[in-house]
Amino acid sequence: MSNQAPLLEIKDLHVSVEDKKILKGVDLTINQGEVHAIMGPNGSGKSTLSFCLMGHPRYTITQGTMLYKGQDIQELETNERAAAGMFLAFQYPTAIPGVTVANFLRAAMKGVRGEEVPVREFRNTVKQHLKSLGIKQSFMNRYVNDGFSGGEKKRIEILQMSVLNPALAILDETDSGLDIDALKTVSEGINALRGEERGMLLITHYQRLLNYVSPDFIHVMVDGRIARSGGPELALELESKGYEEFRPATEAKA
Amino acid sequence: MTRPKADVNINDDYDKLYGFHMPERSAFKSRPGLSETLVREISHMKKEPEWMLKHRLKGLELFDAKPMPKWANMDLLSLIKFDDIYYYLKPEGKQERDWNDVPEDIKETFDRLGIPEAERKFLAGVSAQYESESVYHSMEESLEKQGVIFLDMDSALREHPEIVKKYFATVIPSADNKFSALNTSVWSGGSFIYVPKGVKVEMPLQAYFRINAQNMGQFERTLIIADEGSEVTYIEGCTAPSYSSDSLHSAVVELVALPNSTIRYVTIQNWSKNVYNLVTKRAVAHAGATVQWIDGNLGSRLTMKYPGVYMVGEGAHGEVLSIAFAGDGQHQDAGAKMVHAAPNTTSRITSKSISKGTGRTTYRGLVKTYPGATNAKSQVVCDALMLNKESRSDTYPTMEIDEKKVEIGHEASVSKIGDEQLFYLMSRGLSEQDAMSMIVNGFIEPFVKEIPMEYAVELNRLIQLEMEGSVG
Amino acid sequence: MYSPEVIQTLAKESQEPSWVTQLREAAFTKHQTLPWPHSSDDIWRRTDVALLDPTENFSPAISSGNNASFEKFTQPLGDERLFVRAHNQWLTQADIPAGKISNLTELAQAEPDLLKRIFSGEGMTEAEAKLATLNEAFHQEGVFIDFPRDTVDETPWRLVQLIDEQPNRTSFPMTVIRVGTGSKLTLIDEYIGVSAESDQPHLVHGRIELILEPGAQLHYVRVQNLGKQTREFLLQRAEVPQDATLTLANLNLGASLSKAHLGAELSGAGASSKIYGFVFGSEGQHIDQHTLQDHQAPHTSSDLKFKAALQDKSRMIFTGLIRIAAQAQHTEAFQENRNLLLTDKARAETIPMLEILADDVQCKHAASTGPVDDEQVFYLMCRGMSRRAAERLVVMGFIEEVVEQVPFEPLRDLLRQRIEGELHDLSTSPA
Repeated sequence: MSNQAPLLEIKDLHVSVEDKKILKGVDLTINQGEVHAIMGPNGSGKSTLSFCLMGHPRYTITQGTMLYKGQDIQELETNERAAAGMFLAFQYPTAIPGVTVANFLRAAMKGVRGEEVPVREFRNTVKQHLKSLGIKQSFMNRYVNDGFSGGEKKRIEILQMSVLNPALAILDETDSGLDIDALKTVSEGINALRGEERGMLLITHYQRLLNYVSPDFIHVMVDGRIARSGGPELALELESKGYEEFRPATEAKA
Repeated sequence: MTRPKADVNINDDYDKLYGFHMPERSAFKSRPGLSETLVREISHMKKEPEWMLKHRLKGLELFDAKPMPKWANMDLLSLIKFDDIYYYLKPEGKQERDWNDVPEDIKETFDRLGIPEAERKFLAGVSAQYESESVYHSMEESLEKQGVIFLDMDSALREHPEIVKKYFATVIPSADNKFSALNTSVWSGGSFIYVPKGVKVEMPLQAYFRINAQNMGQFERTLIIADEGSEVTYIEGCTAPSYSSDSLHSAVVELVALPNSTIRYVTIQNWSKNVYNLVTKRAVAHAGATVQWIDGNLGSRLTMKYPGVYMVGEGAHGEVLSIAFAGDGQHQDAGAKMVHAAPNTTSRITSKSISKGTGRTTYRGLVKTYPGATNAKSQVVCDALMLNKESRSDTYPTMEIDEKKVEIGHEASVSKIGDEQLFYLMSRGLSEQDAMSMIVNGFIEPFVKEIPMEYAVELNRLIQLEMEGSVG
Repeated sequence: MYSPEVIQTLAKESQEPSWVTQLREAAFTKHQTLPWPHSSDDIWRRTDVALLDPTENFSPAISSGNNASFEKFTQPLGDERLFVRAHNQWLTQADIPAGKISNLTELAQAEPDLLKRIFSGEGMTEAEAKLATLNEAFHQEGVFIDFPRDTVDETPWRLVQLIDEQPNRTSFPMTVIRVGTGSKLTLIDEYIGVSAESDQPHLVHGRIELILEPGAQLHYVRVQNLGKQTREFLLQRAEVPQDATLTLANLNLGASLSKAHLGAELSGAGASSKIYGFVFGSEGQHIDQHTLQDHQAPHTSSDLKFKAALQDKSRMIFTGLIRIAAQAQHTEAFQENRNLLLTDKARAETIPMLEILADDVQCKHAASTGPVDDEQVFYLMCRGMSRRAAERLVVMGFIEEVVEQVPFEPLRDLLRQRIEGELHDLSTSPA
C-alpha cells in the first residue's frame, strides 16, 4: 500500500437503484487527517454515497471507481471493507432483535481485527468508551437498536465507531433526531476521534452539526453530483442562501 | 438483491456425534409387527396386573380402529411400515444404579452422549433408557428421604401400583388419537415422578432415551405428579443412530400439577432423520399451578407433537415455548394446545421455527376457552425464519372462544434473514457466515434464555454458532 | 327435487345456447360424483353442510309475479347509478356512460370462452366444487357487468339483487364482473332478502366472479342483507393480474347461516388486494367466513382485515389462509381478525393460516378476541359519557374501520343506523 495514496479517492462514480440513476458522476478525495462534510438536500444522493462505500447490495455501480488506500474496494465484501478500516454510522441503524449489544460488539471487534479479543481487554475498552459517551452499562445487555430512541441509536453508533477505531469514518446524518445535549455528546465523540491517522466524512442536511465539528472541506451535493466544494465558509453561505442557489450550477455543468 | 452465499450449519455433524450405533445384544426381541399375542407377551413378561393388560388390549383395539389424522403430512406418515417395526426389545442386563455395572456397549453409548458427566455436574437424578427398557437409574439420596419418587415406569407400576392406577391414562385417554392408542398397547419404560406436598426439587431430573437397533419402535410412557405446592424440573433428551430404514418413537407423557405446584418439562428432541416422532403430551393444571413445556425439536424425519395444558383450576398457568428446526427432508409439525376451563387462567405460547433447504416447519395450535373461564388470557406468538427458497413454513392456529370476558391474542410472522440486517452486521466486520449465524442466534434467543444453561450450551453448539467466549 | 328436468325448464326460460345447457348438465353430473365436505376438513368443521344441501328438501324458486313489494328498493339513496333486479328482470336500470350490464345468456352469446372458463372449476377444492356445481347447474339470477378498458367512472354503481325468500326453495344467483385494462370502477352489490312470512328456510347458493384485467382497479363491496330464515353459501373468486388493484369488502348483516368463501388470486407481478370483512351477529346467527389470499406471482401484496361484533348467541367462524407459492418472491401479505364478544353466549372461532413456500416474503397475521375494552370505556366516562353511551361508542368505533371502506356515504349512514339500532345495551347484559 503506497503512502502517497489518498485514504479515499472516488472518481466519476455513477450509481443506480433498480434502474433509477442516483449518483451521476461523483469525484471526492479524502486524505488522512482530513474531515470532509457533504451537505445537500433530501434525495440528492448523500446516503446513497455512504451505502455504496460500504457495498450495500441494493446499489449498482454503473461507472467510476472507489479507491481506499489505493485499493479498488468494489470487489470487497462489506465486512472486508470494515476490516480494512472503513466505518459507516447509519442514519437509521437496523434493529437486530435477540442479539445483545455486548455480543454484537465482541463479534464486530473480532471481525475487524481478524482475531479473538481477550475478554478483559474487551471489557476495559467498552467500559472506557461507555463512560466517555455517557451510555449506561445496562445497554450492553439490550438487543441491538431494538426499541432504542433516536438518540440512543446514534450514541450506540458512535460507541461502535470508538471501539472499532476505523481509519475512515463515514457518518450519515448522525445529527438528525438529536436534542442539543445528545448532539454535544455525539460531537465530542466525533472530535475525540479526529486525528492525523484518520479521515472522516460527515453527511448532513443541516449546518447544525458543523457548529460542533468543524470540517476542513465542505462539498455541496445536488442531484447526484458535487455541485461545489470549498472551505468551512461554504456552510455559512449555504445557511443563508439555501440549496436552491446551487441548482443552476449543476444544470449548467450538465 | 443478492442472495446470501454463506450458509447456516445446524446439526450438520449429527452422524459423527450421535449417528453411531453399537452391536445389537438383546435379551428379548419381539418379532416385527403388532399383534394381540405380542401385547399379551409384553404384559406377561413385565408381570403386570390384569388392569394394565386390559388397558393395553383396549389400546390395541383403538389403534386398529382409528384412522390416520387427515390433516397430517400423509406423504410422510404413510411411509411408516407398521409391520416391519420391532415393538419391544429388551436389552441385555438389568437396570443398574452404577454406570460401571451397565453393559459395556451401552455404557459407552451414554458416555459418548455425555450423560454420566452431566449427571455429576448438575442433575439430581438420571434415568437412561436403551431400546425398550431403562438400563440405569439413580437419584440423590436427599430427595429419596423427602419422599420424592423417581422411577422408570415399569418399576413404578410394580412398586406404587395404587398411584399409577389412579392417574394412568387420565390426562390422555388411549382413545385420544391413533398414536396414544398405540402407545397404550405396547408401552415400555418412560419415567414416573411423584413429588410430595411442598417439596421443591431444585436440580433437574433427567431421562435420556436412546434407540440403537434398526426398525425399532420406542414407546415410553411418562407420568409426573406434582403434589400441592411442589416444584420439579424434568429434562429429556433423545438421539438415535442414522440408519437407512425407519424407526418409530411414539411416547405418551401425562403431567398432573396439583394446586399451586410447578412442573417444568424440557425436551431436546434430536432423533436421527430416519425416526418418525409422534408424541402425545398433555398436562392438567389445577388451581394456581403452573406447567411449562419447553420443547426443542431438531431431529427426526417427521415430528408431530402438540404439548397441551388443560387449566382446570382457577388461576392456573400454562406455557409452551418451542423451537423447531427442519433441515433437508425434515418436517417439524409441532405446536401447542391451551385449554382454559377455569377463571383467571393464563397461557402463553411462543413458537420459533427455522426451515432450511427443503425443510418444512408447521405450527399447529389450539387455544380454547370454555364458558365460565372468565378473565382468561392467552397470548400466542409464532415466528418462522426461512433460510432457502425451497423451504416451507405453515401456520395453523385455532382459537375457539366461548366466553366473553377473555383476552386472546395471536401474532405470527414469516421472514427470511433480512438483507438490511446482514449488511449492517457485515459493515461492522462480521463475515456473511457469522452475520447469518448471529441473526439466527438472535431469532432463537427467547427460547435459549428459558432453558437451563447446560442445555442452552448444547443447543448453541448444535446450531454451531461458534460464539464461544462471547460476553453476554 | 333437483334433477335434469329442472335444468331443461331453466334452459327453456332463459333461451340460452344449447352448449350452456350442456355445461349445466355436466356440472350436475359432477356434483353427484363428488363427496360432501367432511367435518374433518378444518374449513368445514364448524358448519353443518347438510343445512346447505338443497337437493333433498328444497325446490327451485319460482317467479311469484308479485313485484309490488320490491318497489321501495327502486329509489336511489343518493347520486349512485342504481340497478335493481328481481326474478331475473331489471326493475331499475340507471343510464351508464360506459360499460354494459346484462345477463348471463348475453354473456354466453358474447363471450363463450369466459363463461366456459368460469365453469371449468379450476382452482377450487373438491368441497367447493361440490357446492359450486349446484349453482353452475341451476343458476337463474345471472348478472354480467362488463366495464371496458381505459374507462373511469367515479360515480359508484349500486346493484341491488332482491332475493325472493320463498320457503323451502333455493335461489342461485350468479354475478360476473369484468373490469378492463386501465379502468376504474366502484361497485356496491347488495343482496337483499325480501322475506316471506314463514318460519321455513330459504336457501341461496351464490356465485360471484370478479375478473380484473391487467392494470384494472375494482372496488367491490358486497352487502349481505338476507332475511332471518335464509341460509346462504357463497363462492366468490377474484382474479387479480399484473398491476391490478382490488379492494373488497364483505359486509354481513343478515341470514341465519352464511358460509362464504372469498378468494383473491394475485396472478401477476404488481397485483394487490385489500380485503375487508365485517360481521354484525345477532340472535342465533351463524356466520362462517373463509378467505384465501393466494399469491401466485412475485411482487404482489395483500392485506386482509376481518372484524366481527357479536351479540346474543351469534357465532362467527373465521378461517383465513395466506398461501404464497414458491415463485411468489418479494410478496407482502398481511391478515388480521378482530372479534368483539358483546354477550356471554356469543362465540368466535378463528383460524388464521399461513402456507409459505417462498422465502423472500413478508408475512404476518394477527387475531384477537375479547370484550369491549375497559380502558377505552373508562377514558370516555372520564370525559363525561355514561357507561351505556361509552360502550356503544366503543362498539361503533370498532366497526367503523370496516364501514368506512364502503365508498358511498348514504350507504355508510344506513349501515351505521342499522347496526346502532340493533345493538343491545351492554350494561343490561350480565357482566
